[in-house]
Amino acid sequence: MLIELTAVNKYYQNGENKFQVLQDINLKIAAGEFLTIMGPSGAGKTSLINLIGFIDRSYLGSYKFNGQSYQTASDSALAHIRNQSVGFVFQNFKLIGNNTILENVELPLLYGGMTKKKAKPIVEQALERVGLPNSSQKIPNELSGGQQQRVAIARALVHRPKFIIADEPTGALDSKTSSEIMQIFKELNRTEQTTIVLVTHDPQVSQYGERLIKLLDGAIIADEEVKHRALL
Amino acid sequence: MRFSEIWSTALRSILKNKRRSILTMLGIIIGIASVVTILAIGDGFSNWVTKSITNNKAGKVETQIVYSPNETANSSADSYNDRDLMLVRQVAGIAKVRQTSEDSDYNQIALPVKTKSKNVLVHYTSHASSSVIAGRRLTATDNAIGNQVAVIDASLAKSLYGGAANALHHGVPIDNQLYEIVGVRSAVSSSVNFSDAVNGTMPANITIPKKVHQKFTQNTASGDLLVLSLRKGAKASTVNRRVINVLKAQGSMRNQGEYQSADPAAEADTFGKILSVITYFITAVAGISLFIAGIGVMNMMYISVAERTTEIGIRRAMGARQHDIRLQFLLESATLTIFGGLIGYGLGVLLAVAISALPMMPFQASFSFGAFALAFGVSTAVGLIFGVMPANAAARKDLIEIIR
Repeated sequence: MLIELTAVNKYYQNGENKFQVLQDINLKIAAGEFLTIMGPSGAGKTSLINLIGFIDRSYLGSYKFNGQSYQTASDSALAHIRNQSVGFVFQNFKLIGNNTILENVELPLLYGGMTKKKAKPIVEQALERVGLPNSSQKIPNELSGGQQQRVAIARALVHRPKFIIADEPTGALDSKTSSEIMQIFKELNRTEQTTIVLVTHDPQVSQYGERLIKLLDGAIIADEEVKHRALL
Repeated sequence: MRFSEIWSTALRSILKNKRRSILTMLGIIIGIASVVTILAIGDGFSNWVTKSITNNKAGKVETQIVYSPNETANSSADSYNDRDLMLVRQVAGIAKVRQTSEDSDYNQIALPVKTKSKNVLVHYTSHASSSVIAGRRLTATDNAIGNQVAVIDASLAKSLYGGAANALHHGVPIDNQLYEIVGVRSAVSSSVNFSDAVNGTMPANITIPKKVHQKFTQNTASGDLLVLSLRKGAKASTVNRRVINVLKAQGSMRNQGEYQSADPAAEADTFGKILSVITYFITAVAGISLFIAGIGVMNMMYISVAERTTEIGIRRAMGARQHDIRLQFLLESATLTIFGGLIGYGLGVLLAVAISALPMMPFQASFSFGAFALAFGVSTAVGLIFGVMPANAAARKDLIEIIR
């Protein structure tokens, strides 16, 4: 099992109130899955993916990645596992504004110890893959929202991570661009068996995945197969 | 990430914010430039002093003691006797003592020619004079037995007596004494200048025996000057003070006159004192400038860290360790100050060259590798010291807070 969460609980201490954001989460994600997490605001979606993506490790219970726990790992070890295993796609793209597309996309490769020279052809390839050839010298502001999100996807897959975490990747995009972006994810999952964990609160978007998890008040209330609809 | 990649990231982020980077560098540039300038001038000055006070043939440092008799003194007596010399020789730091006269071998006097007065150069010699066109030369014997004779040049002979031949066996008045003209040499160019004469033997309008001249000007009796050659490492002013104390207590002529030190480096000393005050002052100003520049760097780095919180978050999510982030910001501030330091060094060199080109400066600025190393080291240190806190702040940012 790629990702295995057993009895995971997480609390926020807010003044004197203890607030539970995750309640007894049991979740298994196999390699090659396309998982969608849905739920209203404050349901704990972001907390859950921060935990899965090795950003947050203050939780109770057990999270095993490839059978190994990183709960007590050092910051450096955590950075290393992030670099090697996870690709992040964020709602607001999170590209470095005054860096070129090339400089943005090559980051995971450089932090993995590669030289710029070696990284460049790999970056070009990744950009081609998301439909943005010959744009490596542009800066993010010269691109549309949809194009910026494509760059972010290229950055998430350039270092061939074990899984990609996409946190509301279509939240800032119109419906036409949204479906283009979702097609890219779908393609990635189908042709290269890339594991994708996608968070959304758009029911349309959730139809692209294979498996749908519904969160409410920090607990999983549904875990079901997606019945593929006509729009695909 | 590789160090080279982190450094090139830091470099690019400096270049992407040129105006702010240059303004931040300004303090470093001013501080380093002023230190480099004052060091170059100070080095140039001390080279010049060393050269000018060791300007004798042996390359040794020499100082002088002058004895000046009171008006009541018996001027025929010798200024120093053997016992004085022996006492002086025993003073610590002295390698050799030589007794000599302060008299110059050349002098410029006003000579009455017909109705006017003419400036002529007089040479006092104890040896033979150069070749003549009429009459005879001066010889060493003239000096030894005290013949009151002179050799004048052709143009002076012409203006005084109408010709070389006519001038022979007439008189020429020098210092109220009449000298017999025994020879006439070829004409001396009228453009001869006095200061050149001091530097070497050169043709003079009138040449007379030295001893004869000294006989008539006895108040500057021979041997009132002691030239002290110093041992290596001995300090001129200290040795002079010791010698004067010894002579004041035991010198043979202590009741008839006064001993004074005539340090050839005394002028340099005064200049040196002024320069060292200026050096301290400028170093202090530069130190304050560098400190304030450092605070400016720190301030800019804090602003930069705050502005680039998202960038830090992105980098951390992509696998940057805290160490990578810290190094990136540290290299950014160090690169900034090193640039500032190098520009400041260049500016300082230009300034020093410009200052030493001023007509009032008697020496050239000198540039050492030490000054360069100092500029480089100080600017690097400022960047690192004042960059550490912002870099740590950047590295310690909470990823969860940034990413949401």
